[in-house]
Amino acid sequence: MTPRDLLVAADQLMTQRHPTLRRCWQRACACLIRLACEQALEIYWRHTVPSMRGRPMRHQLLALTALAGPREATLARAAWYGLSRALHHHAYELPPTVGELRGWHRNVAALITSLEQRLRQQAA
Amino acid sequence: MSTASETTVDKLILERLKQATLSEKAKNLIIAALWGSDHLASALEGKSFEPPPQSHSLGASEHVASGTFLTSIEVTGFRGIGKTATLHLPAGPGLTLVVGRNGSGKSSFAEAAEFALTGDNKRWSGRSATWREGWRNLHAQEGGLSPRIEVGLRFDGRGYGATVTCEWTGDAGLDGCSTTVEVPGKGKQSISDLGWKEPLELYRPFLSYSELGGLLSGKPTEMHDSLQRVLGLGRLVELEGMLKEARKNKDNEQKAAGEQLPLLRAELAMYSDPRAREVEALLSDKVPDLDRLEELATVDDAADAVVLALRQIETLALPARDDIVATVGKLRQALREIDRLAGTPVEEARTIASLLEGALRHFESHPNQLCPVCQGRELDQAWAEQARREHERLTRRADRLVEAQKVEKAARQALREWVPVRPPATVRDLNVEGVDTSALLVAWQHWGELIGGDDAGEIADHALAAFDALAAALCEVQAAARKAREGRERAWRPAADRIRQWVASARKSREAAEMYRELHSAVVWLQKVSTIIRNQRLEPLAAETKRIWAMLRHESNVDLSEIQLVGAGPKRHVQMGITVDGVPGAALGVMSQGELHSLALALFLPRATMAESPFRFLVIDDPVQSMDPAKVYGLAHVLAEVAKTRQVIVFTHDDRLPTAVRHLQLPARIITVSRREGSQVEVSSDKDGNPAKRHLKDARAITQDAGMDPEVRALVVCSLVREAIEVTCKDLTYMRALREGIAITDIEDLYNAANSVREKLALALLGDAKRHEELSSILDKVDHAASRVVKAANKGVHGDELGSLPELVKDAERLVQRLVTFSEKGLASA
Repeated sequence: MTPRDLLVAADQLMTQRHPTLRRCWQRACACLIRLACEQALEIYWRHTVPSMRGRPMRHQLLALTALAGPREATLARAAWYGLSRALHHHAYELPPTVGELRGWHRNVAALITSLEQRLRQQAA
Repeated sequence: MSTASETTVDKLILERLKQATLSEKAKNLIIAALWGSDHLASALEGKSFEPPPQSHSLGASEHVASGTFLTSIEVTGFRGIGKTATLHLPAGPGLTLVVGRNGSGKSSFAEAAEFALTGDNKRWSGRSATWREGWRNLHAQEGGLSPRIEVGLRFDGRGYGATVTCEWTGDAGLDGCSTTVEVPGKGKQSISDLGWKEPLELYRPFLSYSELGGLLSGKPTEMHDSLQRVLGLGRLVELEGMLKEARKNKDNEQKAAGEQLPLLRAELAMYSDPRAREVEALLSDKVPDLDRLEELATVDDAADAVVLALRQIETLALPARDDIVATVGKLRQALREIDRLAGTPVEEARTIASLLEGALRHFESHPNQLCPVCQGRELDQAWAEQARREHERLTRRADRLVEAQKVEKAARQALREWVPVRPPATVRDLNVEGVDTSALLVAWQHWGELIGGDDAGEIADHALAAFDALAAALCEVQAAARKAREGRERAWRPAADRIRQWVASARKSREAAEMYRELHSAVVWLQKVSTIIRNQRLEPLAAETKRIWAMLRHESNVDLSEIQLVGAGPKRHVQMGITVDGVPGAALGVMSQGELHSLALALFLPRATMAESPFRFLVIDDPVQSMDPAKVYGLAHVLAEVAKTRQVIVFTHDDRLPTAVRHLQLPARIITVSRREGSQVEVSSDKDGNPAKRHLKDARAITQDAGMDPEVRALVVCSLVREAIEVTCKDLTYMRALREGIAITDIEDLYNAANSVREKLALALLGDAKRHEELSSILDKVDHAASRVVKAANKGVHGDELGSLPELVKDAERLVQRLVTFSEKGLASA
C-alpha cells in the first residue's frame, strides 16, 4: 500500500461504520495515518538519503529540517507526535476525536504532496 | 490612547458629515455633540455655540509607559508562596512556559503580577469575602513575613525599566496594599503615573482559564462593549448616547402639550365663561391657533361686554361735593342779588342814566340855565351834584344786576355740565351680576330733571340733596359693580393662567417636535456611519481572530466566517458567523467547551496584541485545561506566532504544552515551578527549559545514531547546533536592545537582515552585524572551541575537519552557556 492508499483507508474508517472496529476505529485510523506518514518518509529517504531509512522516527524527524525543509518537518512532527500520543493507551485520555484525526490526515496528505514535489524537483 | 482614538473617530465622522444628506440643523447637532454635551445643550436651545479650545487632546498618551516587558515577578507571603520566590522572565518577545502541578504556586505568580499591576484579579473579583481573604500565605504569616510583590518591568526602546512594588503592613486587607513604581533615576511614583488604567481595561494583558470561559459566556452586550472599547470606538457609543438622550428629552417635550390637553379640557368644561367655549373650539383643531388662544388668555377682560359695562360703571366719576356746594352757594347768592335788585328794570335805569349823563354834559357847557327838557328849573351846581350821584347809582345797580344774572346762569351751566349725562352702561340690566341700578337711575333722572328745569330757586334749594342722593346711589352701584367684576375676573384668571401655560408648553412642544425630527435624523445617520466605521475598525482584528481560530481549531468542524458588531442598545452583540460542517447560522451553543475556550483565546490574543497597547507582554494562565490534545499543538503554534513580537508567558499545569513545544521544536523557554513543604516555592529552568539546550539534546541523540550515514549525521547535527546558537543569539540580541534602549522592532529588522551565524553573533555580542570581522578574537575570549563550533554551525563542514561529533555538541553546549554569561558580564562591565 502506498501512503496515499493508507490515507484512503483511514478516510473510510472516519466516514463508514465497520462492524469489527466498533470500539477502536479511532486508534485504527490513527495507526493508518501514522503509517502513511512513516512510509512517506521512507519513500523520501529511499530516493534521497537511503541511510536514513529505518532510523528511529525521532531522528528522522530531526533530520527532516536539514534534509527536506522546515515546512515538511513541522507537518511531520505535528502529525507523528500527535498520532503517537493518540495511539498509546493513556489511563485518563479518551481516543482522539474525528476532528483531530481529520487534522492529522490533512497534515500527512500535505506532507506527502510536499515530499513528492521535492523528489520531482531533485529528479529534474 | 483614548484621546487619540477620540480624535480619529471624530475626524472620520466629520469627513463623512461633509457628504451627508442631512439638514444643516442636524449636521450642527452632530458637530455640537462632537464638541461636548454643553455645546449640544446650547445648540438644542437654538443658541449659537463656539468651538471649544483645541488644547485638550495631547499630553495624556505621553504618560503611558509603552512597550512594556516583564523581567521578573518576586513574591513573598502571597497565596501559595511563602518565602520569597522569584520568577525571572526573559524580557523581549518570546514564549515562556511556566510549568508546575496544580498547587505548585505557579498561578500565584500570575495572580501576583496581575494584582500588582492592575490592583485586581479577575479570578477573585466578584468572589465572596472568604475567597478574597485567603490571599495571605499561612506559612509566611507563621514565619513573620509580610506579603510583598515586586514586578520588574522593562520598556522597549528606553534603555531602562521600572519596578512595581506592592506591600502590605500589619493586618492590612488585600486592598490595603501600597503600590509604588520606581523608575531608576526618577524615584518612586504612584502606580497611576504609568497611565495604565485605561490600557489595562482595554487590552487586558492577563487572561486566566476562568476568564477564558467567561469571555464568551458573559452577557452578549459586555463582549460587544469590550470589543468596541478595544477598537477605540467607545467614542461612537458616547456620541450616540448623547444624541439619543437629547432625542428622548425632546420626545418627552413634544408630547407634553398633548398630554396636558385632557386636563385642560376638563378644567375648561367647568367654566361658564363664553371664552371657555371659544378656547374649546380652538383646541379641537388639529393644529390649534396658539396666538388666538394666547389672546383669549391674556387680553384684558374688555372683550366681555358685561365686564366692560361693569368697568364703565366703576370708572364713572362725579364732581367733588365741595364744588357742588360752592356752585350752589354762588347760585343762591346771585339769586338773592337779583331779588334785592328787583324792581330795577335795567333798561330804564340805563336810559335815565344816559339822560342824566347828557344833561350833565349840557350843564357843563351851559351852566345855570333852565332845564331844556321841562324848562321848569334852573340846572345849577346843586342839581349837577345830585344828578351826578343819581347817574352813578343807576349805572351801578344796572351793572350788579347784569353781573348777578351772569353768575346765576354760569352756576346753572356748571351744575348741568359737571355731572355727566347718564352713561349707557347704567341702562344695561346687570341684576344677574348682583348690580341693581334702579335707584341710581331714579337719582340720575331726578337730578337731570332738577338741573334741566327753569326754576333757579328750586335748583338752588334742592341741587345739593339731589347730588348727594345721586352720589350715594352711584357709590353703592359702583361697589356692587366692582365686586361683580372682580368675581368674574377671579373666576376666569385660573383658566386664563392654565391656557397661557398650555400655550407656552405647546409652543415648546412644537419647537421640540422640530428638534426631535432633526435629532432623530442625526441619530439614524450616526448609527449608520457607526456601523461602517465599526466594522472597518474591526476588520483587522476579526481577520486576526479568524487566522488564530484557523490555527487553533485544528480541523474542528466549526468554522468562523465573520465577526461583526451588530445591533444597538440592549440588543447589541458580537455576531460571529459560525458554520458547522459548512452549514451557517449556528449559535455558540453548538460549540464544545474546549472550542469555546479556543474561540475566546482567538478573540483575546488580537485584542491583547493591538499595536496601541502599551504592553508587550501577555500572561495567560492555563489555557489548555479543557483542550483536546491535538488542539494543544495548534495552540503551541499560535503562541509561538504571537511570541514573535510579544512576550508571551503561559502558566500551565501539565506537560502537554511543553511536550508540544518540544515536538514542534518551537523556541520556547520552559520554567518549572515546584513547591516543597511549607510553601517553599522553587523555580528552575534546567532540563530542557532552554530551547538552545533542547536543540543540542536532539543533536546529541543524532550523534549516537550509529546506523546513520556519517555525512548525513554531521549535516543534521550541524544544523541543530546552528539552530541552538541562533536561538541564543536572538535572546541575547533582545537583551542587548532592551538594555541599550533600541526599539525591538528595529533590532528585529537587524536580526532578520543578518544572514550568517557569524553576523548574528556579531549583532548579539557587539551590537552590529557588520562587525563580524572582529568576531574571531571575541569568540576566542568566550571559549577556545567557539570558532570551531561556529564554523561547523555555519557551513556544516565535511568529514574529518569536524572532529568528533559528540565533542562538537559538548563544545556547543558549553559555548551557548558561555555566550550568555559573556553577554551578562558585558553588561556588568558596561
